[in-house]
Amino acid sequence: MMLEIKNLHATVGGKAILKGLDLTIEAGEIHAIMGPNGAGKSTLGNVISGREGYEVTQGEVLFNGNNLLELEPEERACEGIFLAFQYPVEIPGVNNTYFLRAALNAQRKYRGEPELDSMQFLKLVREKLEILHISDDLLRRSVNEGFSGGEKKRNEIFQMAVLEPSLAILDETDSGLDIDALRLVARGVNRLRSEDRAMIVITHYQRLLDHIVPDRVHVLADGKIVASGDADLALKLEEQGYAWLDRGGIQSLDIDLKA
Amino acid sequence: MSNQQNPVDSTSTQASPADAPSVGSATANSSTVDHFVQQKYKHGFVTDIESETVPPGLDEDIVRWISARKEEPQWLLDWRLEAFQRWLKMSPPDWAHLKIDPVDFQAISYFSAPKSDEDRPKSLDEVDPKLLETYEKLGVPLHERAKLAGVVAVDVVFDSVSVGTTFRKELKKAGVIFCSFSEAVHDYPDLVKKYLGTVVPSRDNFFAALNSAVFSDGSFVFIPKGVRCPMELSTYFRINAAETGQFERTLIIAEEDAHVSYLEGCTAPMRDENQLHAAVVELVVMDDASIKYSTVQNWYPGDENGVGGIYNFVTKRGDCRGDRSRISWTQVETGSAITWKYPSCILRGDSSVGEFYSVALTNNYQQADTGTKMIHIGPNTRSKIISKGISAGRGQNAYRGLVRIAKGAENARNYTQCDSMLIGKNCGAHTFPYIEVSNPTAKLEHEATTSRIGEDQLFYCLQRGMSEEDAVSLIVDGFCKQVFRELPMEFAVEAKALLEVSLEGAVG
Amino acid sequence: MSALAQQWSESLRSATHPQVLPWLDALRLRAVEQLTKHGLPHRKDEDWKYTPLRVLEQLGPAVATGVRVENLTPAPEPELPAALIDSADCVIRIHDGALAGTEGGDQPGVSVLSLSEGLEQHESLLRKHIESVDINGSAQAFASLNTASLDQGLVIHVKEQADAGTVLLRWTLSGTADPSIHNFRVFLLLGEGSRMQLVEQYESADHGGSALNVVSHFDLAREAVVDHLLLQNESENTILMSSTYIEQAQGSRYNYSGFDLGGGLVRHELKTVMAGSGAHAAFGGAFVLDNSRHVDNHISVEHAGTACSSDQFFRGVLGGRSRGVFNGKALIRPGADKSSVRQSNANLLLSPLAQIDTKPELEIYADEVEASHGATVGQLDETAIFYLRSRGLSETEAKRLLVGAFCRSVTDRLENQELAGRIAELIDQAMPSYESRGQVL
Repeated sequence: MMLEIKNLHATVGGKAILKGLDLTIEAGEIHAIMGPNGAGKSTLGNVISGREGYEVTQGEVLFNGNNLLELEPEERACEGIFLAFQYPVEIPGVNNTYFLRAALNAQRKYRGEPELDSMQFLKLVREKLEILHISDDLLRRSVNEGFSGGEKKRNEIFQMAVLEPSLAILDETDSGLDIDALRLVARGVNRLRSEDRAMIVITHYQRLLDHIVPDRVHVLADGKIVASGDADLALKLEEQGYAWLDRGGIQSLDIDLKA
Repeated sequence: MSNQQNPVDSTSTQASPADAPSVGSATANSSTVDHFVQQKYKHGFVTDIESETVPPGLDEDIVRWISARKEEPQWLLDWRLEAFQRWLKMSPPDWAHLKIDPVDFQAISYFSAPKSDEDRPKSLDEVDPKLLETYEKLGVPLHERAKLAGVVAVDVVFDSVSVGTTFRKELKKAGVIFCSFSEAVHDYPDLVKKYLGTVVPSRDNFFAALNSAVFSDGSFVFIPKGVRCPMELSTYFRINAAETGQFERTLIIAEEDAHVSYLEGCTAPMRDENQLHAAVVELVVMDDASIKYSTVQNWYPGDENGVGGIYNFVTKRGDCRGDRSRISWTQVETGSAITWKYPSCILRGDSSVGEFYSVALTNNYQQADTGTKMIHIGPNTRSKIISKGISAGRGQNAYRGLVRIAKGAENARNYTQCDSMLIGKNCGAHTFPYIEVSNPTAKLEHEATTSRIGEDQLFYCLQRGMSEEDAVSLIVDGFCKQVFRELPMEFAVEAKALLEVSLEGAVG
Repeated sequence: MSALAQQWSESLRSATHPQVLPWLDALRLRAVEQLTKHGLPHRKDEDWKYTPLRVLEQLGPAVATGVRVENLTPAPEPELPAALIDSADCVIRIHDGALAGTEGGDQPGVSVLSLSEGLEQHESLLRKHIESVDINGSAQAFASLNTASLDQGLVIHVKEQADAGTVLLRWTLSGTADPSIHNFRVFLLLGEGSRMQLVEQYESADHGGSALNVVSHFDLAREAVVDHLLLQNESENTILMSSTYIEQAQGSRYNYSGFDLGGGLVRHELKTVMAGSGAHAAFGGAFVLDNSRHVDNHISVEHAGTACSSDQFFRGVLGGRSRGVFNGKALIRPGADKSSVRQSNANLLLSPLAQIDTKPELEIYADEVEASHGATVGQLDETAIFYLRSRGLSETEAKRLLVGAFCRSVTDRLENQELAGRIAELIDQAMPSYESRGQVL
């Protein structure tokens, strides 16, 4: 079991957002988290990665059997958790390459691996760029500064490729992308699928899941997972929207529940 | 003390002599004073204590005389005398970016009763035609023109009095006190005593001390707890009560959860023979209360050659004593030969808010040194400053502002935007912001720009068929929008018209 | 404080100087009188309101004058960035306010002279500059003091079209039991179309608590280009007062980059007058301070000619109980059309006891002008810190990286990339200890 979330309750600014969420993810799996706005999807990603201001009031999160909630954000990152931000942060003045090398070396050091010098790092980076079909002028720019929406999201995927996390959380990676940009991002993600890597794909729409086919789909509503199924569940949701949540819950949804 | 307190600091500062010659000590022979004195005599002004007018000059006897004439209680006389003693030891401030002919404070008469009928023009025919022309352009109603031009005694003015009476009744019902300062001294002495000088102490600066010693009259407003004043209060209706212009003193108190919007001034230029104006305004705001104070200042700016005009030295300050209290200053300054004015907020209460919106225009030989002080003392205090300066002709326009974040002001926020526009080759636009931060949780942003009126914008308007003057007005109006929209509706319309009139002759 | 000015004046009244020139003797005496009359700057002087001078009390009553080279006990060499030394064509050492050795400086068209030699060869030009300095009033006390004691100095003359390369001035103060104030004068005379990169380094191996009061003059003839880099990394009890007067003729370019990473009380006054048209002046700087350090940058730019541009660009990082001051002025004279002015000062406050005072001023008398200024005070962006931590960097590293990035906008303005990188490293080392969630670490 890679990730085990049990009865997770979390508040933001005193307001309860997650209200008893359970989720279990095995290595190699891709789980999609869908749900209406305000359901708590992004909160889940932020809680797992340890963002300040997100307070866990109840429940536990185990990562490879260890209590994740005790760790600082950077320790979680070093343990292999990667959050692709919904709104990647612009950091003027910090060179993308420098930033990524600092991050990678911090993680390698944590794992007791030797740090990479700039030549070794550059070689690694160029390989990854090639795999993802990203131009290397990205390397010379400041972190996300002046990037278009699509460039920012691709930069997130590129960072993921370099850092090689064991659990990647893609928070609304499709938002704000046109279809071409979406394909590019999805292609990148698919290249990074592997047996020992799990991913949580948080999305509002089904369209990303046309390109990144999940093993499991969960519907998050009002802080809880209210339905789970295979990739078909996402298609049903696309057809029927989220209005059924108000109509009387999951039973009114015309699907086979495999949860 | 050789120097005067800077409005932006408790320490005095000295501008270089080339920049700002001192207001200086008494020089009886200065041309300004001559002009001033001649004006008086031209109108056959008689100096006769019996007839309730004091001779020029200021000493302790004059202060006593003023107080006695107004039948003031002993404590107020003592307060005036103490201020007078301080004033004697002070000198006029010299740090502002202003060139001022020395003022002879002993050549000024410190009390004059309302003019008798012989003094004033007999009809509009005797009034300066240029003034009348301006009224025409501003759309001032005919009977108002007469009042403004001083043709009729204000106490017989038709509309204002009746308006005044009716709305006083309504205010009384709501528990709001709105009266002249003199009335307040007699009718509400405890309130006056409790608050007078607690925001602007008489020692604050030279002009505040002078005002404290000799203030003639002004407004007093008290909004009791929980009351939202049912109407906007305006001195426009009250200006008749007495000839208060020269050393006006205003005190506004908003108790817990009380709210008021106060309008001061008048968009039409006042015919006024007082060269020197030194007003003091004090605002006190308690928990959850708010005061919105809007000013349109259009005193006589002098003629196109820089002759004459009012010297306007004003100390305006609000004290946000209560938590979540709020003070908003909005000013449109287009008049006066000299404007020296820094409406300020002391943000003491937790989460209190101070705002300052200003349009200052200088044309011909006008000079303005104006801005604000935002003193953040309490936690979570916020302030916002929007200043728009327009310089035309040979006008000199300076923004001077202080934002200070004291040690205890956790999470204080300030945003300042300060734009200057230059119209013509011979004017000046200056920006002097002071930012002092002693708390690491503060966030401040100050932005300023100075540029001449947009050539391409002008051309665009001209190409669409507008006259150059209309185009300039249009662009200037757009430039000032952020401030105008803070003004009460009808004031905003008038302010816009006023700007147009004030800019006349600035182009070409 | 005024007692100290009186003591200095007394010490100077009877001083003898190696150069005997009637006009200079008279001027020195006048300066002594001014110092006696007005004393030292106080808080009521607008230009000094944010910089109290209490620490001057540690200084002794005497001001050294006369020939002093033989008294020199060379201080141990501070470790210099290799990039600074390697790129220098001329290295000049000034120890305790006296010339202490020159290496190089023998390119064609370049002459490196002592003050005495300079006065022999360029008397009228030097006189013009010396006399142009305002020594009247308490705010000008350090100029008065420097003029009153004027006998030690350096003159670098660069002929038209010559390239002086990189000139390195290494300023050191000796560690001494009784600290005193040392004065020195620098003249950089650049002929038409000439060039120079001046690098000043202030870093003493000893920590004696002395003060250095330097007045420098830059004379830039038409099309002359000067890059001026200043790197100050003094100990916490060192006092540095530097005043730099720049005169710029048509088409000249003056480019200042100052890095203050140390010092106790440090004040830089830089004043340029762009009399010629098409001149350019840029002032960039970063101050990264901890402990009780105090750094005050006073920049004044005067646009007198047409089509001149100027840029002021300062970044402050304040930790500990440190205090930073930025006062940038730009004056556009009537008729100085097509002027362009930019001022920017951003500051990070990292400690509850640190303080910043910033005052960007514009004074504009011409209408064909583009002028803007901006000033901010704030903290590191929490979102950016989290972003970095989510990628595996520790909180301290994340903050360090962000502070570095904040200052990089200044180092990026240096043409010499290697130097820029080295200075970025020095900035990194100078980083104040970080506060974490309100606590100072």
